[in-house]
Amino acid sequence: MGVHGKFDGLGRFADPSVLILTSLADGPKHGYAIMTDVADFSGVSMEPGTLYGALSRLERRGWVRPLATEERRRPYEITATGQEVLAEQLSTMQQIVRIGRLRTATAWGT
Amino acid sequence: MRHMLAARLSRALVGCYPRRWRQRYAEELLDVLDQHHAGARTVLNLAASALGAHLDPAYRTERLPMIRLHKNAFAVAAAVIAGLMVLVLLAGIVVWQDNLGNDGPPPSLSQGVFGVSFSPDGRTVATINTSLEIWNAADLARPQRLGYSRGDIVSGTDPAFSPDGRGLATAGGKTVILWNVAHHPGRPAQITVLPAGPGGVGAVAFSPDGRVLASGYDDGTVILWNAADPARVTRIATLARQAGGIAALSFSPDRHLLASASDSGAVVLWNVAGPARPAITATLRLTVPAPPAQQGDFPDVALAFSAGGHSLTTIAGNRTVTLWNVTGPGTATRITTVTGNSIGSGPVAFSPGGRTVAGAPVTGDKVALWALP
Repeated sequence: MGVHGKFDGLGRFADPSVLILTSLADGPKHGYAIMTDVADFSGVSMEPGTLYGALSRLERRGWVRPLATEERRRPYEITATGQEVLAEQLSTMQQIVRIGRLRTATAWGT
Repeated sequence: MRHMLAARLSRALVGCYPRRWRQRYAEELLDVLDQHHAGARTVLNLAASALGAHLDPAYRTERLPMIRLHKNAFAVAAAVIAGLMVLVLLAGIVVWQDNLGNDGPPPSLSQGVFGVSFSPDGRTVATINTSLEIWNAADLARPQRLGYSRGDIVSGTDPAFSPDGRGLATAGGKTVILWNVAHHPGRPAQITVLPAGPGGVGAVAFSPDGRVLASGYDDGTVILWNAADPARVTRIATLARQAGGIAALSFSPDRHLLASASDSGAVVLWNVAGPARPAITATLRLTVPAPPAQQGDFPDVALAFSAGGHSLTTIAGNRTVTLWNVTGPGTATRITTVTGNSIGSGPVAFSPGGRTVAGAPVTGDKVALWALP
């Protein structure tokens, strides 16, 4: 659990859009598969309301694209624009991580 | 229960999204909800998301053009506030459902268990300490407490399950209480409190068809009740008093005989084929051995009909096990008597069919099981 337990998961901090785009980066997935995948790699348990709120916004911005429905399940695919946006977001986050680590190390001497 | 309610609320909330949003996403969202373990958080999250979708211009304009929005601003605001209040209320109900029956710490079993009873299918156990507690005993190694009743029941009498396992009769002072333990096992619900009897209740038993309830009192009286409708129990008959206080009651499998044992060592066999006109068919004298007479001992009396109803096994003073032939009309003959080591010094109980006896000391944590010939 570690930090997840202490701070109630990354849910309070993490942007659901980044989590969804990261989940779709290795291939198309339908709604429930995204939820379980996000929970697996980040420990964030995303509620269905949050998931579909974010999916509808991502779709409107053209960052994800719906594929043909299989039974009742519709897989989503990340678009080329979506991949660019994700790469940008991740390098920003990396920058934050780098600076954050540096500053906490200076402040706490770890 | 909580998850069923939360799942139903979640599905209903999908209908609260804007129409165009629903046309596009509702089916998928319902599919995800089918697989998701819904809780109070899911409900609140969906409510917030549905509200967010309504405020989203992409979905709002289509239904509420700016001019109409201005005109209807008050109506919309009122509807949104009313909707939110309803949701908060519903979320409250979900949380309340979760906590109901489990508020406050359960009474400690170390205060002593006065009575215990297995359900007919053996999967549930009811115990009496200072309240009625229901246990899931499907896994005997790990019984789980399902819940307990409110209010105090202080009684040394074993409760009795109805034959279908849905009802339970407990004794409290001079009254018998009927409980529904099937609807919410975690929350035994009182169905009715029977009128007070002439003394403290010493034994309760249901007939095998569940239609007659017998209650025995410490003044030697037995009352038969019509329990066909647990909500409206009526007195059928009061049996003539016998010497001593009633300590055990048992119906024969065909419900024609009722055996009532008193702590003075007499067992009366009643013909209750017509419960309104009960008649004594035989009186059995039990050989009560000299009690070990230690302080704190409560030698028990126990009764069990054989599965076929041809014989009756009695235990007196925790030492003398007697098998009686009760097939002949109006008679009962002693088949055999075994006097052995004391089966504990506390309560004794038969397994269904009377083949096994369980005996427990008053203190300590061991129960002895005896197989009968």
